Amino acid sequence: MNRCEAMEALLNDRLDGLLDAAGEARAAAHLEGCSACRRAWEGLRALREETAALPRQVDPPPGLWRQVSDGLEPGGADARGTFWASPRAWALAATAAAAGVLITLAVQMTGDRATVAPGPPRPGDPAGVSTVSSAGATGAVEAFLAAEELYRQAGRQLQDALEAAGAQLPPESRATIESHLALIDASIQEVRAALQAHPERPDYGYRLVDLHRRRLGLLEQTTRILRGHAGSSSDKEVST
Amino acid sequence: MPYAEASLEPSQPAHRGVIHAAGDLTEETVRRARQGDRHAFESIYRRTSGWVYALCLRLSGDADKARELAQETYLRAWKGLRSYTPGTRFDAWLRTVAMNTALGERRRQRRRWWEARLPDPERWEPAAPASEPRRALDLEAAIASLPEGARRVFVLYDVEGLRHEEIGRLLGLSTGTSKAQLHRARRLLREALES
Repeated sequence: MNRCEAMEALLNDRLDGLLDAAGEARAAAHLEGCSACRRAWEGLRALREETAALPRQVDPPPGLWRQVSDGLEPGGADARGTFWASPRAWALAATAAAAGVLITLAVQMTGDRATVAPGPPRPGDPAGVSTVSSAGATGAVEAFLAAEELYRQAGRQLQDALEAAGAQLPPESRATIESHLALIDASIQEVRAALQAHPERPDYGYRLVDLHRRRLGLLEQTTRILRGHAGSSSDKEVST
Repeated sequence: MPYAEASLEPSQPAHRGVIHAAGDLTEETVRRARQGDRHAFESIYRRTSGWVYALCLRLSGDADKARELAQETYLRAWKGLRSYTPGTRFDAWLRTVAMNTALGERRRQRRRWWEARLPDPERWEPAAPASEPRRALDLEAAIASLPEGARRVFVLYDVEGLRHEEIGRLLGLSTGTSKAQLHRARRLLREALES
């Protein structure tokens, strides 16, 4: 990198007022002896002025309000209330209850973990991990996967609710939640594959369900925070 | 100040340089809109749609897409008015809704932050040489022609006045990448406007 290439960042920082005294002196000294960089500097300043002069408003296309108006759901935001007061919340609760029944079924099919019959040792199996006989394994895996599907449905409902409320969620929070979800989803994929490859291993099933519980918990927690925020806004308005 | 008379005109800029006009909107107008008053919501639309559309247009670089984004912004605002806190800047709240909507396109396209890459320099096509004195229209066209990543950072930093840290959080970029995109955008714009 020659000296002038290195100047691009310096001149941009100068434009943005980010230089300290030493940086300012360095930029000034270079500009003194470099006509190409002086032109670049003047170009940056002209661009800044033109950008500042851009109109703050642009007329929206005709008919936009009509499109917006046609898409407005009846009732105000206050009337719609929160997600937890909606019929969808009851559907979610029912889904979670059904998932619980299936998990119980899976547990019963695998039997008491203290008495399950150990399967044949397999390469890579950690020592001391319980397994079940192949007869019960298939049914248990199906029950685990059915429970997983219900958790996935519940998760989708909560994600839809969050997407609808996306405007309320600070971008940094949203990014954090998305990265956590991505990690959990990657783990879910790995554990599901392991369970399908080793149906005699109920611990994979428990792990799978546990991951879905965590995923649902994260989404529920986020929704509750949003609900709290909306509630506090409402309280503030009433007291004003 | 009585609740109904509290102006939503911002008193302090949240960011460098930019304050969007909220007209003579009052808390009462927003309160009525929250309760489902479409006329009140239309008042909000009439007073804000100019800069909301401008923001969507500059972030997307496409008039058709900007129309969709502006529409989606107001639909989300209608649904999400509960989250607006009375007494705070309404224009800042609405701008957040618009930015999340415009920048959310990436999420809807299933792209994640770690997939973000610097745009291919080959994609840059300088604007045609101006045959008459430069006007704002030339700059608007040049901004629209920027690669997406550079355009978004330029609009958010130089037009909307956000800081690199804020842009980084919005776009899932490091501060250094945000600065690099900004410098690149300025270089490309200078080249286009000087050609």
